[in-house]
Amino acid sequence: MWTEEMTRTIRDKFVPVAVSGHVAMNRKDADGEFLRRTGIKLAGAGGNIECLTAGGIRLGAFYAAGGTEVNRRDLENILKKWQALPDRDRKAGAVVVGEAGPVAANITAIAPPAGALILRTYHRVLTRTADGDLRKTVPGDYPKSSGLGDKDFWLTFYGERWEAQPDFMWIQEAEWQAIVRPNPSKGDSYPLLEAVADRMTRAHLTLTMAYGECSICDRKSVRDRSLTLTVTDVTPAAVQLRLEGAAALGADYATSDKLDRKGLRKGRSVEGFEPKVLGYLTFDRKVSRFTRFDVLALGDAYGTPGGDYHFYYRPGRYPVGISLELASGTTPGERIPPRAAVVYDTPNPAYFATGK
Amino acid sequence: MRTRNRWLAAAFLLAAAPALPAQSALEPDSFDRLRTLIRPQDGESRWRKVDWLTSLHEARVKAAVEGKPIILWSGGGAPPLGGC
Repeated sequence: MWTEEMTRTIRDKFVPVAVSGHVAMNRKDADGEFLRRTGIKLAGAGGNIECLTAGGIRLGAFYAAGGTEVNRRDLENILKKWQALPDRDRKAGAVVVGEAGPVAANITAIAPPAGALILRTYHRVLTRTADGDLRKTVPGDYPKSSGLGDKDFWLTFYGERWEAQPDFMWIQEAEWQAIVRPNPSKGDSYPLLEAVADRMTRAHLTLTMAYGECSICDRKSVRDRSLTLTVTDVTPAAVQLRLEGAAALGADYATSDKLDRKGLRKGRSVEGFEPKVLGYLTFDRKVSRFTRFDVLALGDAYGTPGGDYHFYYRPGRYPVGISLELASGTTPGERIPPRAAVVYDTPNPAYFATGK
Repeated sequence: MRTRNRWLAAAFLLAAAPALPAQSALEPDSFDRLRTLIRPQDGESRWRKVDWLTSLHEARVKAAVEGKPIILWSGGGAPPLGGC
């Protein structure tokens, strides 16, 4: 649905807000009460797009997977309905919105910790070309999709899964401050702080996030992991570091392949991912903060992703890339929690318990 | 004949060799190119061009002041601006 026209209409004619459906519906505060009064029911899974007034009049909904033309018409009808409302419900300044009141404790608890470093992450499933190069994936790369219909069907019902899937990583203040050791010298080499290395591996180098969802995986899912920092330059202004390493997560290829050949999966999730990691970090010594945190992970994935993701099954090995970079954290959209840091509407304690 | 067999054997080995593992493409020289490939590209994920709020109350206040309707996008598990 995200055509140029739809995006422009939403940006120019609406006030856009994005929430977790489960969190929003169950909030025990004024925001939650307001939403429940409107009669809108946001799904705990999947997603909705609803339109309403500041005073709580429901204008309509549309289904993002309904198709571009249907979505465009739905949005047009919603705007017509809006225009037909009396001035008291829609004119600028006509509706008075009361104070927000106390925010529910669970909402406060899923905000980034004070001083946290926020990294924006992107996962993308890729395809290896015949000459060994890498390219973007297209619907035709998914053999199991062939029985599901044409490309449009895929685009509308299964989303643009070959696009970059976004998420965030949080590194607490004490953790990022410990990444650069005191009195660094060029050539120093040492392991990445265990809490960060463990979190990066189990919550962010995950295959399922490439399909748009993840949770933190358990320790036994990590077959191997090494993440090492090397100081590449030191000046009075900055410390430059290179991050290198690799990880092996989930089932090994032989196990996955054996189950695959015997047809034993039956919807079970048996998959693996073996990324190599390379990154470049810059720590500004004058302002004591990182000004660069560019990390890439690239490796082969294999096996059957669980749940609905089995439609994305691809035989053999296929490449998956992950990119991490600094986010300013200054906009609301950059302060939403990492997927693995929450369980529905409460913090997941496992997220910050990494390395222990 | 022996030379021909060697060529055939070499050709067979090349054909049978598995494609290079993806990891081999992650090198300092290819870092920027690979990063560009992984990150969102032109025409993708246009929702990123919208300045989303994440508080319904803030959205209501803004909508009332500006005289606009609210579009509420929800995801399962987390706001759809991240993993959901």
